[in-house]
Amino acid sequence: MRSKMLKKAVLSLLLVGMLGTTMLGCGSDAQKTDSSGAKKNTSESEKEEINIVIGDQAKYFTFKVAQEQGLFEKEFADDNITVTVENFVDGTSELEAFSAGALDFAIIGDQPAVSAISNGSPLTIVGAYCSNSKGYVLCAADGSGIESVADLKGKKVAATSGTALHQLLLLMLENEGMTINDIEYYSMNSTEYLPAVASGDIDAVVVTEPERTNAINEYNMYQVCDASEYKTIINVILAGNEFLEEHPDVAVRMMKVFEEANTWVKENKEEAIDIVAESGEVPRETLESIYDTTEFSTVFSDEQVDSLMKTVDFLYNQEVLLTKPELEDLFDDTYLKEAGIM
Amino acid sequence: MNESKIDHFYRKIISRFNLKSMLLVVVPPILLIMFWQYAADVGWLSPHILPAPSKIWDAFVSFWTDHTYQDYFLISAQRVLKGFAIGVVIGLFLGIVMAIFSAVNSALSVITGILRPIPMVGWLPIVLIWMGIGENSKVAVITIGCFWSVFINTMDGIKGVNNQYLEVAKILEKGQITTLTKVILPASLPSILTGIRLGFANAWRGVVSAEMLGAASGIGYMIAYARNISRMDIMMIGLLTIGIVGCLLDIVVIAIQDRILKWYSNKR
Amino acid sequence: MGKEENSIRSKSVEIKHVYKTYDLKGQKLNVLEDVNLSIKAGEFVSIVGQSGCGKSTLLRQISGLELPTSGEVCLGDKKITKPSLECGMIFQEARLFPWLNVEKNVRFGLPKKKQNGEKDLVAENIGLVGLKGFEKALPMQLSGGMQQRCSIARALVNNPSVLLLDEPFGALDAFTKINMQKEIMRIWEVEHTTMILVTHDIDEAVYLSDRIIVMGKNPGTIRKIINVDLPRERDRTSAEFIKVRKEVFDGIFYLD
Repeated sequence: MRSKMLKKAVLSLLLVGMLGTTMLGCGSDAQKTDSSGAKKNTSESEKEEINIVIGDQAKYFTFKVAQEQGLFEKEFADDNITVTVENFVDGTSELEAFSAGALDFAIIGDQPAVSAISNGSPLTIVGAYCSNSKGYVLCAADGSGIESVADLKGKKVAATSGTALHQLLLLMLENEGMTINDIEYYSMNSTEYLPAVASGDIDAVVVTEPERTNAINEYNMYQVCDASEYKTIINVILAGNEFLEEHPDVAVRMMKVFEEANTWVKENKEEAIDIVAESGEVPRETLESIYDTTEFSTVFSDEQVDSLMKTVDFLYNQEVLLTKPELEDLFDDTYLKEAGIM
Repeated sequence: MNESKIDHFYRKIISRFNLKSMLLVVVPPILLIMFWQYAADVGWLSPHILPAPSKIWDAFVSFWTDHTYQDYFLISAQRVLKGFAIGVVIGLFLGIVMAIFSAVNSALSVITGILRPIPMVGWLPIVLIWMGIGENSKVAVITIGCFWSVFINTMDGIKGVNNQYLEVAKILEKGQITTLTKVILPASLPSILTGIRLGFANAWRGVVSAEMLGAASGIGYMIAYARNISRMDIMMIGLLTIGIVGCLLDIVVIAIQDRILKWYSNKR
Repeated sequence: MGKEENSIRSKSVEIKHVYKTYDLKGQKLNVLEDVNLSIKAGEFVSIVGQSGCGKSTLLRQISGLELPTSGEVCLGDKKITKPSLECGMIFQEARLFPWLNVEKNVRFGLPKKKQNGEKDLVAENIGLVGLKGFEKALPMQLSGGMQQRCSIARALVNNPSVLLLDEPFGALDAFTKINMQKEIMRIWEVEHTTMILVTHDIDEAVYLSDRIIVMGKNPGTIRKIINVDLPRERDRTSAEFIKVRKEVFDGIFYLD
């Protein structure tokens, strides 16, 4: 009897041990395991073979331009450094890739970046990409009778939760003295809310491009207002801390390349649009509309910093963040400074 | 008077549990949680991948005190119950019909064969388009998940009824309806109840899928929202809720099943 | 109920030129070929033979669960076209419904419409098979022999004219078997239902029957009919018993 009990006890301890080890294995940063992120061979940076993975989304300009123009090769090829650009559908997917250790840099909205960093992800904002306000809009469905934000009361409104669109919606409501409880709010991803509009289930959406053009052209929606009265929405460059610690010099050079490409985008509208339109994912007219409402800049203006901190306040109030970070906790300007950009 | 019902109830519980086997069951999870907390405190775990139990508890307390958790739970529970009820009814009906009328079975076999492998998650986008973003689409997804278990198990249970029983009924000149209600259904009850039990488990599990899109409340929504705002601790609340409640429910359902089937001996 | 009344209630069975052929993947299997047999009302007849001689098949034709490929079986003067309450049957498995207790299983033997005195009828038959006191027991709580008794009660509760027994005691141990044989004999002496027993056990056949039908295979026909004129209760060790036994034994093994 005793040996049986002992056996059972040992077995269950083993099981707990196994579970615990598995949890550790999954729970610790996956950087220890193999990933497509930075790999290193020897300590000498000359001989190192590094592959930098960059996260991009269909509507962003700069990385595509850098690739097209061979700027990555120009800067890095001699040093055995390659750059791979991966496409993602939204910021959340980029964050997941970061968590898995599969991404080193990405263009991403400020809101997901702030959420991730504050909640413990080992990421840092190293620069800006652009800001936009006219491109973020409130659209209403044909026949919904919505002429202004005040008309949203009691209506069904969709905006993806946790994004700048969500924040924008709340700001708009706040401005009219309303809260989220004054409307019927639905959180949906960008692919879902337009069909819901078609079936009459949604009265209004807060969107940006390319959904905005889609909403107006395909789904008979009309624009009620845009974000310019409320907030500038900024997109930033996010980097994985492990990469920054292991290859700070490469990060600086990356920012140089980025600045070069960003400047080029600013100065060459038509060609830049051509380059992005090539993938065919976003129609040319939409890209034009995006371009026209966007201010490209690698350095944060005061206004943009302000907007970033407003995002922090908003997220903290929404209880998305457990602590309220300072600017230094989010943004490290070393890389821009050393690249001579700032 | 007989001993009070409470005493009788306690006596039943105590007689079923002996301390040794209880410890064996209860201690490992507790050890795991303790180890988990330790690993988090010492820094072996990254908080953005797997938060400490204490963090999860804090987030839970916060959701509980402002009543969000309870609201979400109730909403999900309602959806599950509705989906379960509808799924069981349709599953039983179709299962019985297709088992008894082989013509119907053959006619529908290709359609059901193709539809069956599609998981609940796969149905979601279509259901959203067909039924909109209201309650109905969520209940529909849950119904689908529940339906298949009930349907398959009912059909198999009825088809598998021992022919020996049917011969006895024939010799005793029992009509078709009597044979169905008095012989076939009781004989297939073990399978049917298993189907219902699995259906219930799937219905509860389906809440995560059903509330992933186009929802603004519920445990599944909580998980999706947590993903968007990078709050793993909140996501864990949702996942643990699904797991723990699912486990408890299963225990209850099995107890009910055993009670109903006390005549059913596996030795047969 | 008196013996004479029962004799009137029980019926005769006529088997005329019965052929039974099965179709197995295109191949034809002739199990029964030109079987002819007359069984008197109230008679106890056993059918014996080696495996595959068709004795169970013949019984199933009489029950109506299957119909002959050609020829006919008559119950009394009516041709059998389907299973009926007039012809009861018990099998090697008790086939009790596990979700019903003894009482309800036996009650299942009665037609659906509620009759007067049906409770008494059920109780009487439960007593008849020696299961008094076990009315509320579930089949899983009964031994093999007891289950078989319950099955007999269910078969007899509606007073069938003929009772078919398809190796009913084959799954029981030797001692239970002997007890059950005694039970069946006792029941037959009370009820005098026409009984047709299929068995592997020669002793059983000699112990119980008025006549023993020996069947052979290839072709599946009746080889020999042996009359058993011994008075009941029969002594299995007596010289006369053994003599009949030998006759049957020879009939099965040497007459081909």
